[in-house]
Amino acid sequence: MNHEWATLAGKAQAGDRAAYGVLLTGILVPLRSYVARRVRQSDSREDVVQEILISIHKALPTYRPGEPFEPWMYSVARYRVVDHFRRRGRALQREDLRGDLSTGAEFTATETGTVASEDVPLGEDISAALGAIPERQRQAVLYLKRDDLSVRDAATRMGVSESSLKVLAHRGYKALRTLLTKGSSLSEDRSAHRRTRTER
Amino acid sequence: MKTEALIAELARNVETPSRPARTHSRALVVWLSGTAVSIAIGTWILGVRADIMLMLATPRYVLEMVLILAVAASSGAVAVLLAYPGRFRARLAVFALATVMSAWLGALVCLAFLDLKRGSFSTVEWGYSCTLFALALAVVPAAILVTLVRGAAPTRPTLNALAIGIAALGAGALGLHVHCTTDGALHQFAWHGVPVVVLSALGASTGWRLLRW
Repeated sequence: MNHEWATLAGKAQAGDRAAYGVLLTGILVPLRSYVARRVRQSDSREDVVQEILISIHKALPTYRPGEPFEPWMYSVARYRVVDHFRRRGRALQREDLRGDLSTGAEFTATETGTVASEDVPLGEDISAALGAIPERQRQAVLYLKRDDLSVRDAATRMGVSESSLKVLAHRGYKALRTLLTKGSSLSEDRSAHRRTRTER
Repeated sequence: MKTEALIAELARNVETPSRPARTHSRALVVWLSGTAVSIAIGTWILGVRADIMLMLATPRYVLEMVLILAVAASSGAVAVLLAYPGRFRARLAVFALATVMSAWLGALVCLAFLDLKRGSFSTVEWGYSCTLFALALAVVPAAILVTLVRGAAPTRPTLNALAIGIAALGAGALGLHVHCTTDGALHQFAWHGVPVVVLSALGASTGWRLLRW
Protein backbone atom coordinates (compact mmCIF):
# COMPACT_ATOMS: atom_id res chain seq x y z
CA MET A 1 0.00 0.00 0.00
CA ASN A 2 2.77 2.36 1.00
CA HIS A 3 4.60 1.75 -2.27
CA GLU A 4 1.40 2.20 -4.24
CA TRP A 5 0.68 5.54 -2.56
CA ALA A 6 4.22 6.67 -3.24
CA THR A 7 3.80 5.85 -6.93
CA LEU A 8 0.45 7.63 -7.06
CA ALA A 9 1.89 10.69 -5.29
CA GLY A 10 4.72 10.81 -7.81
CA LYS A 11 2.20 10.71 -10.66
CA ALA A 12 0.08 13.35 -8.95
CA GLN A 13 3.09 15.64 -8.75
CA ALA A 14 3.44 15.22 -12.49
CA GLY A 15 -0.15 16.44 -12.90
CA ASP A 16 -2.02 13.11 -13.21
CA ARG A 17 -5.52 13.98 -11.96
CA ALA A 18 -6.80 10.41 -11.95
CA ALA A 19 -3.84 9.16 -9.90
CA TYR A 20 -4.30 12.03 -7.47
CA GLY A 21 -8.01 11.25 -7.09
CA VAL A 22 -7.21 7.58 -6.42
CA LEU A 23 -4.52 8.57 -3.90
CA LEU A 24 -6.77 10.96 -1.96
CA THR A 25 -9.62 8.43 -1.93
CA GLY A 26 -7.21 5.69 -0.83
CA ILE A 27 -5.80 7.64 2.09
CA LEU A 28 -9.24 8.74 3.27
CA VAL A 29 -9.91 5.62 5.39
CA PRO A 30 -6.58 5.63 7.29
CA LEU A 31 -6.88 9.40 7.74
CA ARG A 32 -10.39 9.08 9.17
CA SER A 33 -9.25 6.43 11.64
CA TYR A 34 -6.16 8.52 12.54
CA VAL A 35 -8.38 11.52 13.27
CA ALA A 36 -11.01 9.42 15.09
CA ARG A 37 -8.32 8.15 17.49
CA ARG A 38 -7.23 11.70 18.33
CA VAL A 39 -10.26 13.98 18.04
CA ARG A 40 -12.98 13.22 20.57
CA GLN A 41 -15.55 15.61 19.12
CA SER A 42 -17.29 13.49 16.51
CA ASP A 43 -18.88 16.53 14.84
CA SER A 44 -15.53 18.12 13.98
CA ARG A 45 -13.71 14.97 12.83
CA GLU A 46 -14.75 15.24 9.19
CA ASP A 47 -13.74 18.93 9.17
CA VAL A 48 -10.28 17.95 10.41
CA VAL A 49 -10.04 15.22 7.74
CA GLN A 50 -10.91 17.82 5.09
CA GLU A 51 -8.31 20.22 6.48
CA ILE A 52 -5.71 17.44 6.29
CA LEU A 53 -6.64 16.75 2.65
CA ILE A 54 -6.29 20.45 1.80
CA SER A 55 -2.93 20.56 3.59
CA ILE A 56 -1.75 17.48 1.72
CA HIS A 57 -2.72 19.24 -1.50
CA LYS A 58 -0.75 22.33 -0.50
CA ALA A 59 2.29 20.40 0.68
CA LEU A 60 2.38 17.90 -2.20
CA PRO A 61 5.38 19.57 -3.88
CA THR A 62 7.45 18.89 -0.72
CA TYR A 63 6.97 15.12 -1.10
CA ARG A 64 10.00 13.47 -2.66
CA PRO A 65 9.00 10.77 -5.20
CA GLY A 66 10.33 7.34 -4.32
CA GLU A 67 10.35 7.93 -0.57
CA PRO A 68 7.76 6.32 1.74
CA PHE A 69 4.51 8.26 1.54
CA GLU A 70 3.06 7.38 4.96
CA PRO A 71 5.57 9.24 7.20
CA TRP A 72 5.06 12.33 5.03
CA MET A 73 1.27 12.03 5.13
CA TYR A 74 1.08 11.43 8.88
CA SER A 75 3.39 14.38 9.60
CA VAL A 76 0.95 16.64 7.76
CA ALA A 77 -2.01 14.95 9.49
CA ARG A 78 -0.42 15.36 12.92
CA TYR A 79 0.24 19.04 12.27
CA ARG A 80 -3.38 19.63 11.28
CA VAL A 81 -4.74 17.77 14.31
CA VAL A 82 -2.51 19.78 16.67
CA ASP A 83 -3.55 22.97 14.87
CA HIS A 84 -7.20 21.98 15.31
CA PHE A 85 -6.75 21.61 19.07
CA ARG A 86 -4.86 24.91 19.23
CA ARG A 87 -7.62 26.76 17.37
CA ARG A 88 -10.31 25.07 19.42
CA GLY A 89 -8.53 26.11 22.60
CA ARG A 90 -8.31 29.67 21.35
CA ALA A 91 -11.99 29.70 20.38
CA LEU A 92 -12.95 28.53 23.87
CA GLN A 93 -10.72 31.21 25.39
CA ARG A 94 -12.36 33.87 23.20
CA GLU A 95 -15.78 32.70 24.30
CA ASP A 96 -14.66 32.76 27.94
CA LEU A 97 -13.43 36.32 27.49
CA ARG A 98 -16.70 37.34 25.88
CA GLY A 99 -18.49 35.74 28.81
CA ASP A 100 -16.41 37.75 31.25
CA LEU A 101 -17.12 40.96 29.37
CA SER A 102 -20.84 40.44 29.01
CA THR A 103 -23.23 41.34 31.79
CA GLY A 104 -22.63 38.49 34.17
CA ALA A 105 -23.34 35.83 31.60
CA GLU A 106 -21.70 32.52 32.41
CA PHE A 107 -20.33 30.40 29.57
CA THR A 108 -19.62 26.75 29.95
CA ALA A 109 -17.78 24.60 27.45
CA THR A 110 -19.72 21.46 26.69
CA GLU A 111 -18.30 18.06 25.84
CA THR A 112 -18.75 18.70 22.12
CA GLY A 113 -16.70 21.86 22.20
CA THR A 114 -19.67 24.13 21.59
CA VAL A 115 -20.26 26.90 24.03
CA ALA A 116 -23.48 26.98 25.97
CA SER A 117 -24.72 29.98 27.79
CA GLU A 118 -27.20 30.53 30.57
CA ASP A 119 -27.84 34.20 29.83
CA VAL A 120 -26.22 35.35 26.62
CA PRO A 121 -27.99 38.20 24.89
CA LEU A 122 -25.04 38.87 22.60
CA GLY A 123 -24.72 35.21 21.52
CA GLU A 124 -28.44 34.92 20.88
CA ASP A 125 -28.45 38.08 18.78
CA ILE A 126 -25.54 36.87 16.70
CA SER A 127 -27.07 33.43 16.22
CA ALA A 128 -30.38 34.98 15.19
CA ALA A 129 -28.66 37.40 12.82
CA LEU A 130 -26.57 34.59 11.34
CA GLY A 131 -29.74 32.60 10.76
CA ALA A 132 -31.26 35.54 8.90
CA ILE A 133 -28.51 36.04 6.31
CA PRO A 134 -28.22 33.95 3.11
CA GLU A 135 -26.75 30.46 3.50
CA ARG A 136 -23.54 31.03 1.47
CA GLN A 137 -22.77 34.31 3.22
CA ARG A 138 -23.27 32.61 6.59
CA GLN A 139 -20.98 29.75 5.57
CA ALA A 140 -18.25 32.19 4.46
CA VAL A 141 -18.46 34.14 7.74
CA LEU A 142 -18.38 30.97 9.83
CA TYR A 143 -15.38 29.49 7.98
CA LEU A 144 -13.39 32.70 8.35
CA LYS A 145 -14.42 33.79 11.84
CA ARG A 146 -15.50 30.68 13.72
CA ASP A 147 -13.25 28.04 12.14
CA ASP A 148 -10.38 30.52 11.63
CA LEU A 149 -9.68 29.18 8.12
CA SER A 150 -7.57 31.14 5.66
CA VAL A 151 -9.34 32.73 2.68
CA ARG A 152 -7.78 30.11 0.41
CA ASP A 153 -8.92 27.16 2.54
CA ALA A 154 -12.42 28.56 2.97
CA ALA A 155 -12.68 29.20 -0.78
CA THR A 156 -11.56 25.64 -1.55
CA ARG A 157 -14.14 24.23 0.84
CA MET A 158 -16.95 26.27 -0.64
CA GLY A 159 -15.81 25.57 -4.18
CA VAL A 160 -15.51 29.27 -5.11
CA SER A 161 -12.63 31.55 -6.02
CA GLU A 162 -10.84 33.53 -3.29
CA SER A 163 -12.27 36.84 -4.54
CA SER A 164 -15.82 35.43 -4.56
CA LEU A 165 -15.29 34.18 -1.02
CA LYS A 166 -14.16 37.64 0.08
CA VAL A 167 -17.22 39.21 -1.54
CA LEU A 168 -19.52 36.68 0.18
CA ALA A 169 -17.88 37.28 3.55
CA HIS A 170 -18.00 41.07 3.10
CA ARG A 171 -21.71 40.94 2.27
CA GLY A 172 -22.23 38.66 5.25
CA TYR A 173 -20.50 41.08 7.64
CA LYS A 174 -22.49 43.99 6.23
CA ALA A 175 -25.79 42.14 6.61
CA LEU A 176 -24.86 41.08 10.15
CA ARG A 177 -23.91 44.63 11.10
CA THR A 178 -27.22 45.95 9.77
CA LEU A 179 -29.24 43.25 11.53
CA LEU A 180 -27.39 43.66 14.84
CA THR A 181 -27.65 47.46 14.76
CA LYS A 182 -31.38 47.20 14.00
CA GLY A 183 -31.78 44.61 16.74
CA SER A 184 -30.05 46.72 19.39
CA SER A 185 -31.96 49.89 18.45
CA LEU A 186 -35.24 47.91 18.56
CA SER A 187 -34.46 46.57 22.04
CA GLU A 188 -33.48 50.08 23.17
CA ASP A 189 -36.83 51.39 21.81
CA ARG A 190 -38.65 48.62 23.66
CA SER A 191 -36.93 49.42 26.98
CA ALA A 192 -37.61 53.15 26.54
CA HIS A 193 -41.28 52.36 25.83
CA ARG A 194 -41.42 50.14 28.94
CA ARG A 195 -39.86 52.90 31.07
CA THR A 196 -42.38 55.46 29.81
CA ARG A 197 -45.32 53.14 30.65
CA THR A 198 -43.97 52.51 34.16
CA GLU A 199 -43.53 56.24 34.76
CA ARG A 200 -47.11 56.85 33.67
CA MET B 1 -18.88 20.55 1.29
CA LYS B 2 -18.68 16.77 1.35
CA THR B 3 -15.28 15.13 1.56
CA GLU B 4 -15.76 13.24 -1.68
CA ALA B 5 -16.62 16.52 -3.45
CA LEU B 6 -13.53 18.13 -1.92
CA ILE B 7 -11.36 15.27 -3.23
CA ALA B 8 -12.82 15.75 -6.72
CA GLU B 9 -12.13 19.51 -6.47
CA LEU B 10 -8.55 18.97 -5.30
CA ALA B 11 -7.90 16.37 -8.01
CA ARG B 12 -9.10 18.86 -10.61
CA ASN B 13 -6.51 21.39 -9.38
CA VAL B 14 -3.57 19.03 -9.13
CA GLU B 15 -1.68 20.67 -11.98
CA THR B 16 -1.66 24.00 -10.14
CA PRO B 17 0.03 23.25 -6.82
CA SER B 18 -0.05 26.30 -4.57
CA ARG B 19 3.59 26.03 -3.45
CA PRO B 20 6.74 25.99 -5.55
CA ALA B 21 8.75 22.81 -5.37
CA ARG B 22 12.23 23.29 -3.94
CA THR B 23 14.33 20.46 -2.60
CA HIS B 24 15.70 20.71 0.92
CA SER B 25 19.29 20.52 -0.28
CA ARG B 26 18.73 23.46 -2.63
CA ALA B 27 17.05 25.42 0.17
CA LEU B 28 20.04 24.75 2.43
CA VAL B 29 22.49 25.90 -0.25
CA VAL B 30 20.45 29.10 -0.73
CA TRP B 31 20.51 29.77 3.03
CA LEU B 32 24.20 29.02 3.47
CA SER B 33 25.25 31.21 0.57
CA GLY B 34 22.87 34.05 1.50
CA THR B 35 24.04 33.91 5.10
CA ALA B 36 27.72 33.84 4.12
CA VAL B 37 27.28 36.97 2.00
CA SER B 38 25.21 38.86 4.59
CA ILE B 39 27.57 37.97 7.49
CA ALA B 40 30.59 38.95 5.39
CA ILE B 41 29.02 42.34 4.57
CA GLY B 42 27.84 42.86 8.17
CA THR B 43 31.24 42.03 9.62
CA TRP B 44 32.94 44.30 7.09
CA ILE B 45 30.62 47.16 8.17
CA LEU B 46 31.24 46.48 11.89
CA GLY B 47 34.95 46.05 11.33
CA VAL B 48 37.20 43.01 11.53
CA ARG B 49 39.52 42.82 14.56
CA ALA B 50 43.02 44.05 13.72
CA ASP B 51 44.83 40.90 14.87
CA ILE B 52 42.62 38.46 12.94
CA MET B 53 45.52 36.81 11.06
CA LEU B 54 47.37 36.23 14.32
CA MET B 55 44.24 34.84 15.98
CA LEU B 56 43.56 32.45 13.09
CA ALA B 57 46.87 30.80 13.93
CA THR B 58 45.67 30.20 17.53
CA PRO B 59 44.07 26.74 18.01
CA ARG B 60 41.74 28.04 20.75
CA TYR B 61 40.32 30.79 18.52
CA VAL B 62 39.90 28.38 15.61
CA LEU B 63 38.18 25.82 17.86
CA GLU B 64 35.69 28.46 19.04
CA MET B 65 35.06 29.47 15.45
CA VAL B 66 34.51 25.89 14.30
CA LEU B 67 32.05 25.28 17.14
CA ILE B 68 30.03 28.41 16.31
CA LEU B 69 30.07 27.44 12.63
CA ALA B 70 28.80 23.97 13.59
CA VAL B 71 25.98 25.54 15.64
CA ALA B 72 24.89 27.81 12.77
CA ALA B 73 25.20 25.26 9.95
CA SER B 74 23.63 22.30 11.73
CA SER B 75 20.76 24.37 13.14
CA GLY B 76 20.15 25.77 9.66
CA ALA B 77 20.07 22.23 8.28
CA VAL B 78 17.67 21.15 11.05
CA ALA B 79 15.40 24.14 10.32
CA VAL B 80 15.29 23.33 6.60
CA LEU B 81 14.75 19.59 7.12
CA LEU B 82 11.95 20.18 9.62
CA ALA B 83 10.11 22.15 6.96
CA TYR B 84 9.75 19.00 4.83
CA PRO B 85 7.17 16.63 6.36
CA GLY B 86 8.45 13.23 7.44
CA ARG B 87 12.06 14.10 6.62
CA PHE B 88 13.40 14.62 10.12
CA ARG B 89 12.14 13.39 13.48
CA ALA B 90 11.39 16.03 16.09
CA ARG B 91 13.34 14.14 18.79
CA LEU B 92 16.36 13.95 16.54
CA ALA B 93 16.05 17.68 15.84
CA VAL B 94 15.96 18.46 19.58
CA PHE B 95 18.94 16.16 20.13
CA ALA B 96 20.94 17.80 17.32
CA LEU B 97 20.21 21.34 18.55
CA ALA B 98 20.98 20.45 22.17
CA THR B 99 24.22 18.68 21.19
CA VAL B 100 25.71 21.54 19.15
CA MET B 101 24.68 24.19 21.67
CA SER B 102 26.05 22.22 24.63
CA ALA B 103 29.28 21.53 22.72
CA TRP B 104 29.80 25.26 22.18
CA LEU B 105 28.74 26.47 25.63
CA GLY B 106 30.46 23.50 27.33
CA ALA B 107 33.70 24.28 25.51
CA LEU B 108 33.51 27.90 26.71
CA VAL B 109 33.01 26.76 30.32
CA CYS B 110 35.95 24.35 30.00
CA LEU B 111 38.11 27.14 28.57
CA ALA B 112 37.14 29.38 31.50
CA PHE B 113 38.30 26.64 33.93
CA LEU B 114 41.53 26.23 31.99
CA ASP B 115 42.10 29.98 32.31
CA LEU B 116 41.45 29.70 36.04
CA LYS B 117 44.02 26.89 36.38
CA ARG B 118 46.60 28.94 34.54
CA GLY B 119 45.88 31.90 36.82
CA SER B 120 44.55 34.05 34.01
CA PHE B 121 40.90 33.93 35.02
CA SER B 122 38.82 36.45 33.11
CA THR B 123 35.82 38.20 34.56
CA VAL B 124 32.52 38.55 32.73
CA GLU B 125 33.22 41.79 30.96
CA TRP B 126 30.20 43.95 30.21
CA GLY B 127 29.23 43.33 26.61
CA TYR B 128 25.58 44.00 25.81
CA SER B 129 26.73 45.64 22.57
CA CYS B 130 28.07 42.23 21.48
CA THR B 131 24.57 40.74 21.86
CA LEU B 132 23.09 43.66 19.91
CA PHE B 133 25.65 43.21 17.12
CA ALA B 134 24.90 39.47 16.94
CA LEU B 135 21.19 40.27 16.79
CA ALA B 136 21.73 42.79 13.97
CA LEU B 137 23.86 40.32 12.01
CA ALA B 138 21.19 37.62 12.48
CA VAL B 139 18.37 39.60 10.84
CA VAL B 140 19.14 38.72 7.20
CA PRO B 141 19.94 35.00 7.83
CA ALA B 142 16.71 34.71 9.84
CA ALA B 143 14.67 36.40 7.11
CA ILE B 144 16.11 34.09 4.42
CA LEU B 145 15.46 31.00 6.52
CA VAL B 146 11.91 32.00 7.43
CA THR B 147 11.15 32.58 3.73
CA LEU B 148 12.59 29.19 2.76
CA VAL B 149 10.79 27.34 5.55
CA ARG B 150 7.49 29.05 4.80
CA GLY B 151 7.90 28.01 1.16
CA ALA B 152 7.83 24.36 2.26
CA ALA B 153 5.43 22.79 4.77
CA PRO B 154 6.70 23.08 8.36
CA THR B 155 4.81 20.64 10.57
CA ARG B 156 6.59 21.52 13.85
CA PRO B 157 6.36 25.33 13.87
CA THR B 158 7.70 25.99 17.39
CA LEU B 159 10.67 23.66 17.07
CA ASN B 160 11.30 24.99 13.59
CA ALA B 161 11.23 28.58 14.85
CA LEU B 162 13.71 27.63 17.59
CA ALA B 163 16.05 26.06 15.02
CA ILE B 164 15.76 29.17 12.84
CA GLY B 165 16.63 31.36 15.83
CA ILE B 166 19.68 29.32 16.80
CA ALA B 167 20.87 29.13 13.20
CA ALA B 168 20.49 32.87 12.56
CA LEU B 169 21.91 33.99 15.91
CA GLY B 170 24.69 31.39 15.54
CA ALA B 171 25.56 32.98 12.20
CA GLY B 172 25.46 36.37 13.92
CA ALA B 173 27.77 35.05 16.66
CA LEU B 174 30.19 33.87 13.98
CA GLY B 175 30.40 37.37 12.52
CA LEU B 176 30.75 38.75 16.03
CA HIS B 177 33.63 36.38 16.74
CA VAL B 178 35.55 38.00 13.89
CA HIS B 179 34.73 41.49 15.21
CA CYS B 180 34.91 41.26 19.03
CA THR B 181 38.34 41.68 20.61
CA THR B 182 37.37 40.39 24.07
CA ASP B 183 38.71 36.84 24.16
CA GLY B 184 37.67 35.94 27.72
CA ALA B 185 35.74 32.65 27.77
CA LEU B 186 33.26 33.96 30.34
CA HIS B 187 32.55 37.06 28.25
CA GLN B 188 31.87 34.87 25.22
CA PHE B 189 29.71 32.52 27.28
CA ALA B 190 27.60 35.31 28.77
CA TRP B 191 27.33 37.72 25.82
CA HIS B 192 27.86 35.56 22.71
CA GLY B 193 26.59 32.10 23.66
CA VAL B 194 23.78 32.38 26.21
CA PRO B 195 21.91 35.09 24.23
CA VAL B 196 21.67 32.65 21.30
CA VAL B 197 19.69 30.23 23.47
CA VAL B 198 17.64 32.84 25.32
CA LEU B 199 16.74 34.98 22.28
CA SER B 200 15.96 31.90 20.16
CA ALA B 201 13.63 30.56 22.84
CA LEU B 202 11.94 33.95 23.14
CA GLY B 203 11.65 34.23 19.36
CA ALA B 204 10.23 30.71 19.03
CA SER B 205 7.57 31.39 21.67
CA THR B 206 5.96 33.96 19.38
CA GLY B 207 7.67 33.43 16.01
CA TRP B 208 6.04 30.03 15.35
CA ARG B 209 2.99 31.94 14.12
CA LEU B 210 5.01 33.09 11.11
CA LEU B 211 5.40 29.47 10.06
CA ARG B 212 1.72 28.51 10.10
CA TRP B 213 0.29 27.49 6.75
